[in-house]
Amino acid sequence: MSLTALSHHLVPCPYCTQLNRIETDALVACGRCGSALQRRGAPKLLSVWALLLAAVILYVPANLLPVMTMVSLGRDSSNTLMGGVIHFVQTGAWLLALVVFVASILVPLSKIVVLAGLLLSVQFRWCARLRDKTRLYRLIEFMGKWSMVDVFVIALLVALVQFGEFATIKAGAGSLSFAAVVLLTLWATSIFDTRWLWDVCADKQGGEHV
Amino acid sequence: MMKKACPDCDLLVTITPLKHNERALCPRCDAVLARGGRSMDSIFALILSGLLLWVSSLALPILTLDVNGVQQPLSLWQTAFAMLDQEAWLLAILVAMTSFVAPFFHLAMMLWLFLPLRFERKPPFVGWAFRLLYANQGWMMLEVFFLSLLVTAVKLADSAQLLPGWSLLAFVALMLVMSAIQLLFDPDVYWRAVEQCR
Ligand SMILES: [Zn+2]
Ligand SMILES: [Zn+2]
Repeated sequence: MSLTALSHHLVPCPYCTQLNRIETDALVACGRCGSALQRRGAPKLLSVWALLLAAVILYVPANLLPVMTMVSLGRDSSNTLMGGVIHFVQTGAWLLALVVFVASILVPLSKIVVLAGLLLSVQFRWCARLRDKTRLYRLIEFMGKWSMVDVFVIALLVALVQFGEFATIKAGAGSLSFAAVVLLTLWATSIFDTRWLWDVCADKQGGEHV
Repeated sequence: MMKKACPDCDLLVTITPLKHNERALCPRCDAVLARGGRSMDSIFALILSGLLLWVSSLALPILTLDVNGVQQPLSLWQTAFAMLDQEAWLLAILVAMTSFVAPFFHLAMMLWLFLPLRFERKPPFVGWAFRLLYANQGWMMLEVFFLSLLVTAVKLADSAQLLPGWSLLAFVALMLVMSAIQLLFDPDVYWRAVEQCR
């Protein structure tokens, strides 16, 4: 027997957490805050896959195209994401290299991999370790926005260098692609619902015990 | 005693009244379902100080750019709008949105939701204001912007120096106040207060 809200025909309001009794598939206004509610249907896996795929595709130009171009003292130098990390390693700025590596390479990549894994888990009803998978989701949800560090740094450099007049920096197409990758993964993560993981396992024995 | 559905796994959980600093966790997936001792009064004070700090974080220079002794003080909004000239307007909007527009909107919505409650009145359009608050929440990235400032300072170290300005202090304080507000805000407690003042 299942002890979920869904099995009791109850829908928690995502805004005010109030439990609403909903017996049909129609849209119903929350009894407390008026938000439109609907009984949770089949997982919307396709929209998450689509956003994730778009993020993966844009990840290629984000890494190949220069994130910025700096013209200083007549020299013209372009920087890619990984190039920035390598530059820090070469100049011995280890801490900075680590921050940039984690924020702009490790976090977005692991987000994409984890989200794909969670989607597969729903799709193929892998019902082992649901608690750990839910925790993993919370982790990528928390990490997501920190990938914006590199985008902000480029934005700040462009602005500051303009005021300092010691060089010219142009934001490259790579930084825009990268910003798009981060926003797309944030969007995909927000659509994914961890309850899907538990829903598809409700009729299996494993779901209740893990 | 009240029933709640876990937002992460949909388990129905009965929650007994919580004492101060107590948390109710979902037995199946460890999601935090409720926190004890949420006071509406402290939230209201935090919203007001947040608004003051927001104004101060924009009013004075957040940093001073020093190139070979020539100093140029810069405010937070100047750093965002400088990019508009550089054909990087998408980045400019993103920075402006996450570092000061969204935080202001959050504070304004909070004030809208909490000020009428002080006079035991139901806020007008309370449901809409509540949903706008939620829609805006994901765009606040004060901490990320702060880390970016630090990285930029190190990155520029060869050619220029970044000196902290007075507004940086306000910005850091705002960052802390905002996270305190988000930690203290409990939608269920809020709506029970609204229901009491018809
Ligand atoms: Zn509601
Ligand atoms: Zn749970």
